[in-house]
Amino acid sequence: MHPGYSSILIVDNAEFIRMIARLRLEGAGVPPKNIHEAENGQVAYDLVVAQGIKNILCDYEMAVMDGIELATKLLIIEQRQDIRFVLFSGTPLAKITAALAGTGLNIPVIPKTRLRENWSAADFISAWFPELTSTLSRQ
Amino acid sequence: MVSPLAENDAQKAVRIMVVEDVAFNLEILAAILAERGWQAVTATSGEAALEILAADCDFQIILMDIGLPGIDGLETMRRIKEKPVCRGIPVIALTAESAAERKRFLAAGFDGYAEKNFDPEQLFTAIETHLAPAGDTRHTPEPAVMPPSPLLDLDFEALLVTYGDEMLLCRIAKAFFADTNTELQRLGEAMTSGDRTVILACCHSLRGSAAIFTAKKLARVSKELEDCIRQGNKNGIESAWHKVVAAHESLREIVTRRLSMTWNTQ
Repeated sequence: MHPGYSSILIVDNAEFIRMIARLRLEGAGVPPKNIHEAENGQVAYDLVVAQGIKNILCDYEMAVMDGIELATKLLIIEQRQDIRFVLFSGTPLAKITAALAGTGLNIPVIPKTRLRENWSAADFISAWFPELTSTLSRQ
Repeated sequence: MVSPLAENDAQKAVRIMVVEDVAFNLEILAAILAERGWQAVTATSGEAALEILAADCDFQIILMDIGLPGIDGLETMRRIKEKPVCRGIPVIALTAESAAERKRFLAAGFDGYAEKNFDPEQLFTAIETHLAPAGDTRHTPEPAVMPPSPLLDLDFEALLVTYGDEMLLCRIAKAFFADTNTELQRLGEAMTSGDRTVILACCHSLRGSAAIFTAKKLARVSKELEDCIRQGNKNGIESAWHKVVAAHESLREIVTRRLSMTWNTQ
């Protein structure tokens, strides 16, 4: 499996949100060095290109290149079907679903409030980033 | 907040049949159920669902799309309810239909419905209503009722349970205030200049962070300001802005007081 699958990129303009997501992922056994952060879609794009990261947990609304723009650039324009892309957001899902309609994007959207819940991060990873789980199990 | 059911090992054995013809939707639903440790058995048509049930009825719930090819969800549900060995399994309609249509589904025999918007919380609520060990399992799922707000604008105990210890919570709280201070400053500048787009973006960001930090009051007044801006309610804007600033300041006082032992040592 490509080494990029053992890494995950958290994209959010709020450091607080990135920190919580990182803590959850670390708690599930993802090594800290395999967790990358970006404060907007443009920084995220540069990291994906430079580091070959294939798992992306991305905020929907950001001032510089939002989640849908980043997903469109990677998955539609560049046809990077090897990338696992999950949007997370505090925006009502119906609004995001409407924004996704017509983009050609088929990506999961999960509410950001899930970050505050006492869910099992391991279950979360296996559900949304299965490739990351399989690389973890070999480490 | 995790459901008591989610903490029960017995729940790991919960099997849910998902009947949905769109493969992508099936994948999403199965992934959402997997987050709770529930096992999804999928069928892409009513016929396939009935075939599975003919050999295996060991399901706690059936999630049924309505607009299926071949026999539709309504008819599939009827045929399931005709089978004595299956009729005890609650069948929940997955629907994006109007309230009137939902009533029709319930009248036709569905045990409940869930919005077909893949919101995990709504789905879990709809399912857990029927998984509840006590009480009537054949009633319409009711909307989740939020517990009364605590006197303090922070569910501190819930945060501690989620993040484990005060040191960690302190780090998170500091990051929260670093972010929200920046947002408040940006919001203040936008309020002065009248930049509606930035005001709305800041309110949205504040509300989202506050919700995750369980700061209900800050989330509520941020929403109030956002609503006033959207509605052009000039009288309400100034008042709501002051409420946001006050709620943020009050929250900071509560948090620093509660975390006083660790706040100054990090």
